Amino acid sequence: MNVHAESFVSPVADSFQRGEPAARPESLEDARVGLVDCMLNPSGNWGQGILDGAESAIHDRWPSATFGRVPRPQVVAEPIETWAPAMAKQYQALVIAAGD
Amino acid sequence: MPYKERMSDTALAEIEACYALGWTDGLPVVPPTPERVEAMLGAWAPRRAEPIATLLPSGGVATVEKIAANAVMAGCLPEYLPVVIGAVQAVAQPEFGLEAVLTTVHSCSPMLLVSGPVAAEIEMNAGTGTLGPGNRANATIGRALLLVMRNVAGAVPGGLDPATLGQPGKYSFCYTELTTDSPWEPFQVTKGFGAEESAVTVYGADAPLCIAEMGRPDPESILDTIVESALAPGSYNAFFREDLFLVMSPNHAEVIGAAGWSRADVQKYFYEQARLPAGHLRQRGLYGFAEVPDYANVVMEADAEDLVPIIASPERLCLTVAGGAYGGYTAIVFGMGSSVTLPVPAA
Repeated sequence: MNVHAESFVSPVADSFQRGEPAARPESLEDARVGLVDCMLNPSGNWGQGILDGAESAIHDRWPSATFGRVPRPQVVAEPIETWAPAMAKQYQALVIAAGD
Repeated sequence: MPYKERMSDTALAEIEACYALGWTDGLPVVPPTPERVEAMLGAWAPRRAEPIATLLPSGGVATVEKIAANAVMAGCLPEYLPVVIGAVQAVAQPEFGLEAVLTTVHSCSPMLLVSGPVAAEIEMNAGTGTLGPGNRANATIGRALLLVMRNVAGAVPGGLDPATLGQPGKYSFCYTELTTDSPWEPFQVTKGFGAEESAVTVYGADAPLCIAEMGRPDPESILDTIVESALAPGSYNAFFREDLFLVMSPNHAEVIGAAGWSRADVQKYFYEQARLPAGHLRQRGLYGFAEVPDYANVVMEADAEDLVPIIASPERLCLTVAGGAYGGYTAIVFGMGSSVTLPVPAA
């Protein structure tokens, strides 16, 4: 016997509230890109491997881009409203490794 | 009579459909048909579309109807719905840290304590086996909350819920206090509510650890056994130093209360005794792995032999009384973050 989802009141969320994504630059040509290791365990170096991959991929596409590594404490020591504008003065884009 | 012959094909097909839709926690659910959800909503029906909370990590909006559908699936009776709604409101409070509780690799999961008159009205079990199976309200209210975590908050194991081990409390973890046999005021009173007000408290709990102390019926001996058992340097409490729940059996509570100890006395004793040397802590558990939060810096800055309390303040010990009349046991419920207490809402 087939039972369709329409037979039920779905218990699954069908509307979501999410923050607006940050604006994406059209190009990273000549851009300074911040690579942020925001892993909970920075000594594990897992974030660095992820950022190595991101750096390589960006460099392949925009060879003129330059990179800077940003450790986690610089990011989490202050509220995002404080550190994000400060980062924006130094970098045109951020890649953040997070997850553990 | 074989099982399949006792169930109509339709009933089984509906249950199987809920599995196929990815809505269940692994156990069969009551299919949320429109009629069943309508019955669950009852007086809440006019508010069915009202957003109760936005739940991280997915950002899903938990409307009254979504909560009701999950309550149906869990097996709740309609009179349980206000408690489930209150619990959803509670986990959504920023201080609870829902996103952290649901997306950590740790085993913690929202535990629910129901306090006040509503617990008796819906016939919750505060007595024998209160943390175990057998009572519909305890079992299904806790399950409903966790089904909302799955279906609205997006905490699907292996997906946004990456818990390395998980724990049985991720199916359901809901209890109420045995206020009639407690020497202390009900838990919600410690959070600013009246004894006649109904409230829900949520906590990012690990599985309970049942501690026996039956040979020494005096307050210090009972509490010392609990304290020493709580000195687990690998617990998240030893790192974050946040809330720690105790579910104390009436036997233990009676001994301690009869000796004139107040709740504050127990909290103070635990705070003063439950300590580990800073140098030992720095070599265990999350220390050395994770970035130390600001409020745990005391461990990093203390001399090696300095004794550091595993809770940041006496009030972090959340003392509750529940369980059967026989047996001297207390369950230590390690966990993560701060508990949140809110009133049970009315339709």
